[in-house]
Amino acid sequence: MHFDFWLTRRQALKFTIWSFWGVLVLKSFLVKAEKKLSLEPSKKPEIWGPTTQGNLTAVNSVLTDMEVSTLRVLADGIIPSNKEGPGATQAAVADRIAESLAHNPALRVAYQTGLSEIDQLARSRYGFGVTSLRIDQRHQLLSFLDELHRTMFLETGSLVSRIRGKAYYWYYVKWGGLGSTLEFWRQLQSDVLAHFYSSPVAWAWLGYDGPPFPLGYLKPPSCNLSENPA
Amino acid sequence: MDVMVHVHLHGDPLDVVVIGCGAGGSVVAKELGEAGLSVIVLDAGRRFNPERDYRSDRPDFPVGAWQVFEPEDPRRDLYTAGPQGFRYIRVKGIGGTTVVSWGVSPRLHESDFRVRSADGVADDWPITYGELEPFYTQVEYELGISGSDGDERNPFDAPRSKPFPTPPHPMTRAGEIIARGARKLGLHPFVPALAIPTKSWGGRPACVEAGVCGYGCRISAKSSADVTYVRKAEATGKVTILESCVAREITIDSSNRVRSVVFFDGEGREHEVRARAVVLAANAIETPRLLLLSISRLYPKGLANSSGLVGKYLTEHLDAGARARFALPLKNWQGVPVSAMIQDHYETRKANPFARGWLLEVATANTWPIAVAKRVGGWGIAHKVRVKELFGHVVEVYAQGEQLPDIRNQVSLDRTTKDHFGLPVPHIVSEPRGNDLKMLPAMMDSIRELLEASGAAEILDSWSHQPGASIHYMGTCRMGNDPRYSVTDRWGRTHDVPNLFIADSSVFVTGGAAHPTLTLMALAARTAAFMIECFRRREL
Repeated sequence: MHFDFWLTRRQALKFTIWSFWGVLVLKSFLVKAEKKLSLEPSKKPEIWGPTTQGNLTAVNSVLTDMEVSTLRVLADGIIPSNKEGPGATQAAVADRIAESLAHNPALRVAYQTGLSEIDQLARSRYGFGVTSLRIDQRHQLLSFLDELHRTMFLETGSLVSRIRGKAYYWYYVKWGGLGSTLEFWRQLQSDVLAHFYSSPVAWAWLGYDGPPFPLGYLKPPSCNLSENPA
Repeated sequence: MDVMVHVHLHGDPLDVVVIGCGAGGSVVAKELGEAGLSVIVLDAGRRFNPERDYRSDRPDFPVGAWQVFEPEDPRRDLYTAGPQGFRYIRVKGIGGTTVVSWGVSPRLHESDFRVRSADGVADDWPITYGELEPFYTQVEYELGISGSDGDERNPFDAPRSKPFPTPPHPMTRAGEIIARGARKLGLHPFVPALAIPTKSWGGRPACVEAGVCGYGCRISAKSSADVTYVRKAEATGKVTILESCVAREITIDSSNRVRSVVFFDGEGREHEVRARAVVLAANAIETPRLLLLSISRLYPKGLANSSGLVGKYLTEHLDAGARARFALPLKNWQGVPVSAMIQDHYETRKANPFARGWLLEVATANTWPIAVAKRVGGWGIAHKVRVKELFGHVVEVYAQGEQLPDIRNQVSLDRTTKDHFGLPVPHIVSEPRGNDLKMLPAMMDSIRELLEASGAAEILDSWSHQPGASIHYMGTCRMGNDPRYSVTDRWGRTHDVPNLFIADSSVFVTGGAAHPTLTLMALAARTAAFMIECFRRREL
């Protein structure tokens, strides 16, 4: 029996060997890059005081208790409490976000899907869900999402970084299906910042007076009685 | 036209149709209305309700505060741009871009009107500063402009016939710190003229230094056109303002006079309204666009375009800036967005390798916690620490330079891209050219020098001219005495069509380095005065 191959046996062997090496190199490159993502994992215990978390469970009919818990953990990772000042937990950011979802069905679905996807990601990487992660693992997970998002969608620098962005895109989005998770990461980050920095907790920490209206910031007229003997 | 939904011919002709209800159109409408003329004003945008629409009393107001100024259909504001791009920033709606402006309202200098004679570049205006001065004063008193007189005044300001209507704003801490650095360099900082009265004016309250002028003034203390000229225009009972109405063509009759304006209403129905005169005040991009859209047998290249200059010589301001951190707490969210200005670099200096100059201004906008947090970018402890370090400590210094007019910078029609009514969108080309490119590095040097002299702890970032970002668009229907080289005469009347006028910054011959709004309003007041005289003489 005779098969008319378009590659010779020698060429086929060469192709197989080079493909094998190519996959190995790419894999090691990605693994190495991924290790670098866990920048300065914070293993310090939280030192900020007791939270108001316990008092704020009634409002969360939009999300399940599990989803709210996941959201709290992620929000606290984005703005942690530490000796520098309060974080998302003290400002009840997760509960404020959950409240805001009641009037926005599309965003609610995005949150439900996104929280579930991040939880799945945590399980695949660490063997358990977001709420059971240690602080350093949580930091690692968020760093991973952030670095991926930035590499793929934001960095436009050198040729190498662009190639790396493309490779990540194919590996993690096209192949790994992380596209919507990364999109949600961006939304989550933006919402957590907005809710924290619009809270009186953050204002007190920053020394901000609060919104410009209704009063503005004009100094009230002097009330010094000694200037006005009458 | 391929779009023809419904045509309704209104009855007897009105006296005047004004297209655009911003800074220029509102001035014309008010002056003509008070003179007893019947006026319809068309505007492509909606009317804003300050208390309902400007949400700066909410804790999270910087998130989504701009949305109220966005069109319902984003195709309304489509445009295309040349190779360097163009950031086209404007508000369509009653009051126009004045509703979001920072209110900075300087006059042009005397030299701005005679650039060719004085410096041998660009062209002279057909009018002098002295001819415009009474109209500057008139507009300043309508708006209750605040500014510095006496020892605190701008030493480079052109002569004034009257003092400012209201006293200057207090200089913010950021302004003071930069002013101190400026004095060390021998410069002359001052509190700029602002269309933000410091005392109750025209039935509106005094400014409370809230600092959110860029998102609309919730208490109407800022003298935007919608709460000043528009209110007075409507009070005459002679002026009708139609919102969400987009003009698509100005028609002419066989005797070479404007006959009517054809426009779409908010529902997409087409109307035609006849008038004895038409005033175009749609801004320096939309005004030439409408003229180029109005093609007829007499004007195959566009209405009033026998010179071929409609849309040409688009001029804006050269824009450079830097953001710096200071160690001292500045409480920079309080007070007006621009509280100090320096004009020492304004005029041509022989030592410079370029003509004309620039001004410097100290700005403290977008200083709210959310804005700072988003600008810092990132997350985690490092992000939090950086936000704390920057919040209340950042100052921006802008340099605003005179761009010389260049015929290659222009507005034309992009016939391949259409807006929501199927009309070709504007295609905008604007690039800094020879003289501009020489001036930009000097502008940036002056900013750095000033920040260093002021003791900045850290320069966070800097930028140098992005086309369109200045928001000041001028010159696309320039005025002049010679019909071969200009579109309108010295009164803003088009050379080609005797009952067609232009009352916006399109008519500027050069842009100076000063913010254009007060000048365009003064020019509009002057055009309105001329039109009233023409009506009296029965020439219109």
